[in-house]
Amino acid sequence: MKNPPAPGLVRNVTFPEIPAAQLDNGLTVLCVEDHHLPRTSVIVSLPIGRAHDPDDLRGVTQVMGEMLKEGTESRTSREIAEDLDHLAIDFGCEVSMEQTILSVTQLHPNLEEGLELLSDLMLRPAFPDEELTKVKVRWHGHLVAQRSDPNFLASERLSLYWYEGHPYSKVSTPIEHLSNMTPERLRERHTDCFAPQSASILFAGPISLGESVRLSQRFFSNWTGEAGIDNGLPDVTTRRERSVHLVHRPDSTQTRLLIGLTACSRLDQAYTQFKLANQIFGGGASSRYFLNLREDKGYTYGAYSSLKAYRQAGLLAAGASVRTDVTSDAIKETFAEMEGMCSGPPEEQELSRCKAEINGAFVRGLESPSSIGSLELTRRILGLPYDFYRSYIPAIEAVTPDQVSALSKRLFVPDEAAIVAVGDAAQISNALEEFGPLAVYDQNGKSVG
Amino acid sequence: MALQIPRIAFSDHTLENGLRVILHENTRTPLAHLSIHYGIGSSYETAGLSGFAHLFEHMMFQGSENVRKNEHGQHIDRAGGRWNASTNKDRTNYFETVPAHFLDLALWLEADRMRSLSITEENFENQRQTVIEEKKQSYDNRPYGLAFLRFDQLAYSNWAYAHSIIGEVDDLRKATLSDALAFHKQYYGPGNAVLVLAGDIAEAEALKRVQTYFSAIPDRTSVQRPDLAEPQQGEEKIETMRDPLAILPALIIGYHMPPLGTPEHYALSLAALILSDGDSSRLYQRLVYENNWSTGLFAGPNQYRGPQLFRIWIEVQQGISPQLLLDAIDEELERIRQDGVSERELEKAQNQVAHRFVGRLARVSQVGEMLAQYTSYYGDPDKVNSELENYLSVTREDIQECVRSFLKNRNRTLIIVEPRGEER
Repeated sequence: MKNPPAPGLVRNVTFPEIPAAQLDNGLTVLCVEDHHLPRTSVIVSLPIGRAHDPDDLRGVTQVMGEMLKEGTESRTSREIAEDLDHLAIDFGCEVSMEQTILSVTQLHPNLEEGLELLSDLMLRPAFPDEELTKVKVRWHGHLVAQRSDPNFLASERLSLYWYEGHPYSKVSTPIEHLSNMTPERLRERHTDCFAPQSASILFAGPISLGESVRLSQRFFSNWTGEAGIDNGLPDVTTRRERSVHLVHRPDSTQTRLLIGLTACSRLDQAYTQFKLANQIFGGGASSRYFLNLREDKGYTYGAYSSLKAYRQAGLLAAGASVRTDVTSDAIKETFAEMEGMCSGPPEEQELSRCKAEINGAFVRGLESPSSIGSLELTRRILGLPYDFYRSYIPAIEAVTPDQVSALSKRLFVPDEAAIVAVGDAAQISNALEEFGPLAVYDQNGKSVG
Repeated sequence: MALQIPRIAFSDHTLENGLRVILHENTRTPLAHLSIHYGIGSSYETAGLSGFAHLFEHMMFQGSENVRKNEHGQHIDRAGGRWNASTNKDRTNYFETVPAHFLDLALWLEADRMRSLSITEENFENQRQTVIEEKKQSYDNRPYGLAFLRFDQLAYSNWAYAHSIIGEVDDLRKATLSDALAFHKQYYGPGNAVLVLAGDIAEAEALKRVQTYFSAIPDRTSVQRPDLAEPQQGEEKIETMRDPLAILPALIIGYHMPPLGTPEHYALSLAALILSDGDSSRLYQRLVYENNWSTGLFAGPNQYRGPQLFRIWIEVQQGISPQLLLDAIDEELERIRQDGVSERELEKAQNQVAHRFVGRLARVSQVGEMLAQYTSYYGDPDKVNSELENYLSVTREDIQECVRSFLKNRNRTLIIVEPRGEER
């Protein structure tokens, strides 16, 4: 057969209705009922993240989350570890820029034990001093080790520059901040963050909303307190000038490039248009950037771009790990592809492929009740409209070539790009200087020229 | 614990040309997953052409009779699907997860590149460069990457598993386009493949569709599985490597052990969970929690079809002597040799296996890949349904016996990675 076969009959898929209820203490209870497997996730979402960490305590919410399982009023660290592991209850605490997620996932017959542990950890943590000392030593090791990773160094440098002075720059924890993390300050942080009125608890698995409410009442109705911090953030000053940053990583055998451009906030009306522009440029392995840098030039194993959008601002970051001797060529080709995005609207076929890629990924996410639940919790944190995910596919489909073109002219401006390169300075500084005055940092983030 | 784990239902067919076809219907979400596993991995390679199986995997995206370079991915992307491939020591897999109404497209694409390959010198050169950069990104430019590549080389005496999947750059440079064409003929035919369709498919109709696209492809493969036999190790092998990219020291340890799917594999997998999985595990408690000698560790079989290694990976805290950790590991293993593990520890490890197994059933892509792997490795997809029971029937005595037999120093390979010295 010479030509690809025609598709069969489409079976549409929709984002499910997610019923909600509220407890007397203000806690919102949500449920994604799905009886396919005997496994249930319980996810608690709080509207506080790294961006809300105090300036001298960057990373404190994450450390506080880590400390929850190091002792409660009635359990020691060892007992918590034993109780979680024995019933294979996966406990997690993930702190992103503007949200904190605590969760337990377990086989359904162990749900009550999982909930009892989750409520004990969340509501009655003890923050023992000796455990905190141990956690800080472990964290110190992680913070040291991550400085050998070129991907971490590149994204840290880009964020520190891009959001300089703004809470969004708090992507990493300076080692010296660990010593400020005392039991008292963690307790204070806990009180500030954990408030039922601003939290949601979502059950995903073979369970009804009624049962979810009953269990929430049993384990969380004595949760009290009011959030002690305002989670509003200052305005972001937009970067619109060329800059070049080199993180010197001795003995590197490649250059890790990351090139940032001003994009849009997650709440921007044009967000879906930005998502499509990103997909056309570098969102996947059929995108222009990948086809050029890898499939045409062979500079790299992979070249991609991504849209990192927060509530108030966002950036598009394009990057690749490239052969050291083509550092300059790779940047030039990145710019050439950006200019290509401004030279006219995308072909209808290219745009429709990108729409299908975005919508396809969305549909695959609907296979798992806990990923549906996570989308819903994020929608609530961001304050997106109720039907945001039910109208997601039509909103992507509605974007036109002209909209992408108009937006690309504002977005893909090489003269406004921040170029970050992580590599061996002796090998690549000359190549980078072609693109502007160089700011050089060592692996510890210290400015060295 | 009253737990009903659904059986994975499937039907099993073999076309006249030898193509094994496994179908698993699950209509929860309108998605179909197609997976092809070819019986070719880096262990099948010949000396001087290390890395070729993986390089060839890249060439399968460079064009076939009716599909030009990169069009494979574009077709699937246009359908809203996901696609990729991977090569390990024992097999190469290609997969597409598509909206169910695009099942024919996925079948057509896979059939086209099984039947024909249309590649050029230029494409071959381009992918050679890409793979060399992949090696740098995944190993050379990553802390501990070169130590990982070195590890199998040091531990295995048989070249089949000793050499790396990514290969030596000199060998990659020597590979030619005609090698690729011969490789396709030898390994990429219906007789050396397992095709799995999982998801929203109607089984009877799906089988007809498979026949439509694949039954006319002649089988020209001639494959001999490599001899993976590994001689008994006589004494411990130790090497120290200096890694200028690493900031912290690390240890990589491996003990020879039997293949995937053997009773010893199940027993030692549970031993690994008891040693290193979760905050309550023995090594985590001693090396990380109590003493803060390590920032993180992992233990477990390396998941090879043939003779495996029970690997332990430990990142060492600054200023801590690796010997301290080695002594502690020896003591912990000695405790199991002497006293075994407790009933509660066994139960805990088995609960963890059960939870993870159920977790893998959540996505049709994962179910499809499990079916493909059991068929490709053992010729028996139904092994997926006895897998959990194999773990649940392990006894404390089995674990103690296996730790005694295999996790001993004479059987051990050790790489100590020293980080860079002075700050430059």
